[in-house]
Amino acid sequence: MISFFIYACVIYFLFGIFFAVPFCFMWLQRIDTLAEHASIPFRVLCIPGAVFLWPVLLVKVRHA
Amino acid sequence: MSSSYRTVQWNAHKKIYDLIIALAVTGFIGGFVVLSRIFFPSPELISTPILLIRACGICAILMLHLILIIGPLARLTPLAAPLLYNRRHLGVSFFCVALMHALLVIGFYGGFGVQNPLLAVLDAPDGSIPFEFFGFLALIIFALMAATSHDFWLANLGHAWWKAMHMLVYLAYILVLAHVLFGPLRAESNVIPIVLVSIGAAAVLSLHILTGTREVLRDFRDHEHSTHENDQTGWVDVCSVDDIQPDRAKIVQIENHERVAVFRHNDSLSAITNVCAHQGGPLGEGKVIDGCVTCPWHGYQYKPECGQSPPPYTEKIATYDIRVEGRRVLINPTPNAPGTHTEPAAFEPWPEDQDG
Repeated sequence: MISFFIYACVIYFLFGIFFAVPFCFMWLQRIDTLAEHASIPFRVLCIPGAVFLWPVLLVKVRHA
Repeated sequence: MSSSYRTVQWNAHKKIYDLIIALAVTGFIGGFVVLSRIFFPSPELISTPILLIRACGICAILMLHLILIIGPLARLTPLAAPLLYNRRHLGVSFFCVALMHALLVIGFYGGFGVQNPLLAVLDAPDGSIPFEFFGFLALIIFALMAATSHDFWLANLGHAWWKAMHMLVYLAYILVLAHVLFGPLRAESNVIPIVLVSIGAAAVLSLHILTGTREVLRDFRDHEHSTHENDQTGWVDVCSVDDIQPDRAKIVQIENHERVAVFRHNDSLSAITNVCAHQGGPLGEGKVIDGCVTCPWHGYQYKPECGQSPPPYTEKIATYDIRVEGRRVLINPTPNAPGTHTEPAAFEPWPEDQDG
């Protein structure tokens, strides 16, 4: 049971990483205009949050 | 406040705060290891990695308790407000210490076998309580909170969702208590650690109950004692001019409406929502600094007459139409759109106010 949970987490976070990197460097300003001229360190800082919340952000980017 | 996003919102005060956190954490962990080594000099009795695991674990639990009691403490005494001001950095620091504890455990207890180290640690033997898994779940919640602690997430998830997500800290706290009680403390013959954890949990619980009860009683008292009588135009009599100190506010609860903060500044009154646009802080418990209402939680500022943050910042909050009749203050209970200019209600100060 615990193994299943861990593998499910790994898959979820792998998808998250694949989404988070392009999101933070290309699409961040699509959902928030204040991020238009955001620095690279700020974008890197956003990556962990995007890894967690990628389904929500995916919907937001599609509707932006 | 935001006109664009900064990576870390440091200022002179926050740098000092963060320096104190870093010194306290390294001092605690270093001191714990050194003192333990003095009292238990033989590495065969207890090895240095285990000492580090314990030091990080205890340090993380202490930080978590501090984080959880800062909120209610700040409602009880303004002396705790500086701690609240930068609680977010304390939270991220706490996560780093908790992560260090977890990595040390995984490396030390799971890193020397053929099985995946994480699974080796989390797979409890049949019949035993999986206390490691409780800790792992709590760590995931703390990671989510640390990762989304920047204002970017607050702005883009919305205040209600962001707040709800960060309320998971209480679930994580229960998981941490289960992790500790069913883990290291289960086999502990010394009662002192169990007593200390119990005191910590009791402090967190009692402070939350105390401040919650206080809020409910205050609402009830305000409702009972105020003269909230609608006049013929639907405006509400909320208080007397003399109830409000210069550059301070009186928080009023209008029936079926949210709380309103009535601020007194330069012998005139302005009414704004009591809820800060940033994290819902109680604006009415703040004061007017440099002509702006300043939230006591994180220092967000708004002009009292229009509810807008001073340029270049863009935050806006709702305002209320206000007027003074004699010494009584009347408010139109229907809020204006955030950022709407309202004419401040001027009044004649008492002579002693002018002397002061």
